[in-house]
Amino acid sequence: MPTTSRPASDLRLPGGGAAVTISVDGSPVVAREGEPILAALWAAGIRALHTTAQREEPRAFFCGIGICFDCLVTIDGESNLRACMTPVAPGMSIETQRDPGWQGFAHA
Amino acid sequence: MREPDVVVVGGGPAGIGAALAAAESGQSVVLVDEHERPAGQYFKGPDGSSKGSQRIQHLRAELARLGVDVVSRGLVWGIFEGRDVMVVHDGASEHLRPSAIVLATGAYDRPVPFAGWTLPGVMTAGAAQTLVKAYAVLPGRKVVLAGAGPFLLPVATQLAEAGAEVMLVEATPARAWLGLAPAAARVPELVREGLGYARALRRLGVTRLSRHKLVRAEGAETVERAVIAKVDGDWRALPGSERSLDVDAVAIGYGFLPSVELAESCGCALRFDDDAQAWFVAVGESMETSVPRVYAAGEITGIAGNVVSFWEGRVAGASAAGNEELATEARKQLGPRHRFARALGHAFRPRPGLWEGTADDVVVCRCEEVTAGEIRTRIAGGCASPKALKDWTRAGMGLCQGRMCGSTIGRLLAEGTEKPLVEVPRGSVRPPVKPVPIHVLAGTEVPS
Amino acid sequence: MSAAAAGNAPDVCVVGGGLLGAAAAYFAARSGLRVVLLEEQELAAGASGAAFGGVSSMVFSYSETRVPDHYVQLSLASVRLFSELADELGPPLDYKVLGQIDPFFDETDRPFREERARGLREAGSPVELLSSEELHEIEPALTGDIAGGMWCATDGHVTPICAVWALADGARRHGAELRVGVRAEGLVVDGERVVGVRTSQGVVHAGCVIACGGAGTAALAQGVGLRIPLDLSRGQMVVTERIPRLLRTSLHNMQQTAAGTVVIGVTREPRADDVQSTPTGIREIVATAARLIPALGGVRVLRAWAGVRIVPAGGYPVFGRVDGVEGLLVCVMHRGITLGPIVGQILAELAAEGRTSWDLGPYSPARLADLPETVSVEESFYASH
Repeated sequence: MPTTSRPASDLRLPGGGAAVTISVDGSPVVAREGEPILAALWAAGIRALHTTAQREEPRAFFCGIGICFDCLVTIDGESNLRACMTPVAPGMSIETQRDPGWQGFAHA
Repeated sequence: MREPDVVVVGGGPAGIGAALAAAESGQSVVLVDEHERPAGQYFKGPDGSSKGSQRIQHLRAELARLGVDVVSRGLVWGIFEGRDVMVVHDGASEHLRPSAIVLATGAYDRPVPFAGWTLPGVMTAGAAQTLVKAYAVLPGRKVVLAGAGPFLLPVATQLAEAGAEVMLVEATPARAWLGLAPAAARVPELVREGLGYARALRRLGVTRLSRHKLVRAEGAETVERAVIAKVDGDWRALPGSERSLDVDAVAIGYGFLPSVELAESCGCALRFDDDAQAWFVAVGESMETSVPRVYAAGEITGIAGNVVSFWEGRVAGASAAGNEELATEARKQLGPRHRFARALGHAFRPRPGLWEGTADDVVVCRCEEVTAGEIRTRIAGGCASPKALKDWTRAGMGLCQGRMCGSTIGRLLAEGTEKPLVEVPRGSVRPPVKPVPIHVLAGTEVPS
Repeated sequence: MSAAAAGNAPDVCVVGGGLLGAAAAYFAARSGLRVVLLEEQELAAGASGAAFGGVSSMVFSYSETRVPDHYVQLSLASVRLFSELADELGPPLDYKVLGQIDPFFDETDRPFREERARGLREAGSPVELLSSEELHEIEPALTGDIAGGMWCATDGHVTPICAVWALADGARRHGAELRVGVRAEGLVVDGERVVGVRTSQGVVHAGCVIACGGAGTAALAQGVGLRIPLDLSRGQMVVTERIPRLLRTSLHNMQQTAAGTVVIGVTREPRADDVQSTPTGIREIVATAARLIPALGGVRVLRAWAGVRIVPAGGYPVFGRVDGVEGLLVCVMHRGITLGPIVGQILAELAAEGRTSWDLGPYSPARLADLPETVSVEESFYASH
């Protein structure tokens, strides 16, 4: 479930595209068409975009420009995508993710 | 396969400058950029009436007028044999074989690990700026912006103008700015810009602390507190000077690292810059690299800002087109600006204390969650290269391909093997320079 | 070993810090010999560090249906030795028994595969020929669009650099000295005896020199008049992002690491002596991977790399004593990961006791003399894999 720590409008500044609704972990979130998913999630107060595979730490984003790969989310079923590099489109389904790997790999 | 005259990689000021100069010289140009449309970090953001926005709208119109083929949301995943440019675009891979290549892949904020730097809400200064300027979203209501150098000024201004409560924490003393006066005399427009920000910060009531730095960020699920401390001349925290501030976002900016991965994988020689403590692409006066017909421009050749990047791009693009006259004309714009950039780079060069936050329990490789302690243990056990450390600890193996941890690993190797950073082996850069799906690579058109 | 006993010199000087050198150093030190290992760059810097890491007795040959029994048995012995080493060295060795599948798409391949499997079985390797359905039981991610495949349940995988370090650390615990950053420049010869190695940091005297330095071994061997013709053959590989567990086995040079990444190999490019990745090579291996494991299609590749196999003329390993020369053991081969432990053990035996129970005739450097002056390296390479 997304961690909602403040009202959605709190960090929003005027401007941007038309309001559209996307789904985040099954709940509707209002976003602006064309903005990166990262902007929509951050403005909606969602902080833990993904949880790391080993330490199970919450992560959001660090660089915001496509370099750090720390704003990973699952978009329409495809995991490990950068929220900062993917624009919002109406009807999109976003899931915050538990990063794959390190689990279930006990070898003989 | 397409065979344009020139392929330009990167759609920031340098790449746009290169594409325009080459196109003006009659060349067919393909400009590949990863983002939605050409802008780069300086000009990113929605169309508006600001000077910057007017400028980039004009440049985009020029690209269109001159028939530059702009491939947005495109990724050059590798350059082979110094001429075969592999592009992913719209889920397919295309092979370009141009007569010349201009690399203008830009820079990103220098990542510096400290306790709490992986918490949501802790971000680079560039990220904070991107959010507020390009996406019209505040990173937080109460923001500590910490670091050193001129880039902090516009970021602090933009955050404060957007309504955030900002504390600007600078590691350098106030007099660092005064030392720039001699080099600044011949770049009045940059001085005006800087003074404008300083005035705006005062007007907006931004608290400005010199000789302080952020020592750690604290919080449970997101950042809640920023702990800052006074520093000495080497940026080492002074004991007993810590204080804690309630925040909901922290941004750090200690200068930039160049995105040299593509240039390096293409075989271009690099040069080590002592002030920046980083490797840049080595270029000659025509912006030519050590690889024939491959040029480089902008921040990957030295951190100097958008104006220098643009003119370097024009030199590179004109040279790639064999248009000496145009290159010479563009080169005239560079001299004083280069000198000022070097003065800035020296004044705000990172001091050793910058890295004292890399305690053993701090995660260095964010992707693979490898701590400084694990890396130090391996170095003490005999690992002497980034490759060995990568294989042992997985540091640098993740999705960011080592961009976030590479410079820190170099520093830990320097520390552990008692070598200067310049002598520490670099990790090899391998294609693809950013992750590419298997089905795309499997269907790729390959050079014959 | 009298020369060594006389002074402070070690009994054995191993040249080369790849898997072969580390294994030779480990077994020699474990048997009580005083060992110095010289490595020019760093451990696993060469072919070992770039290798896929397959540990297999399902030996393949491009040119022969039946691989010689002795070669299968050497591989089998090494596979078994890996299990023993896993007990001795523990998790750092990173040895996993995954079993290996070698699938084929076309029914017309079946007779050839059957014959191969029979040959391997007769030589002692537990290889079975399974149907598409049976393989699917073992590896559910495998495409149904195959005719069948060979399966060897005892095959395994190591992360080569981990194995090298584990062996080197083991050698160190048994008293070996590892000297990294020291380049071997030539052999020190006294009459018909090699008495040491000339290095970038002075002469290292030793009772016995074991040359395991890949292409460097051929250069050293020239010092005693031994010619080892080599082909340098490139192998390209890629690794993906971490994904949830998908693969259970080692499959056509693919395997999923504990972290969740999938390592995909490997090209076979004779006469390519650089470690460049190429678009063609990358496409070749990922296209096969996606054909075999359709679920890999959307998975992202993070990095491609390449290594150079050191293939001695004739294709088979060359290791052991050099006729007419005392105090020197040479060792060159391109299946050094699988064969490293057994070859290291045999070399250590030779260094300690001067003999081994293994018949090394087929691998003797002397047989190189029978080869024509110019060997078709391509033929050599394809002779065995």
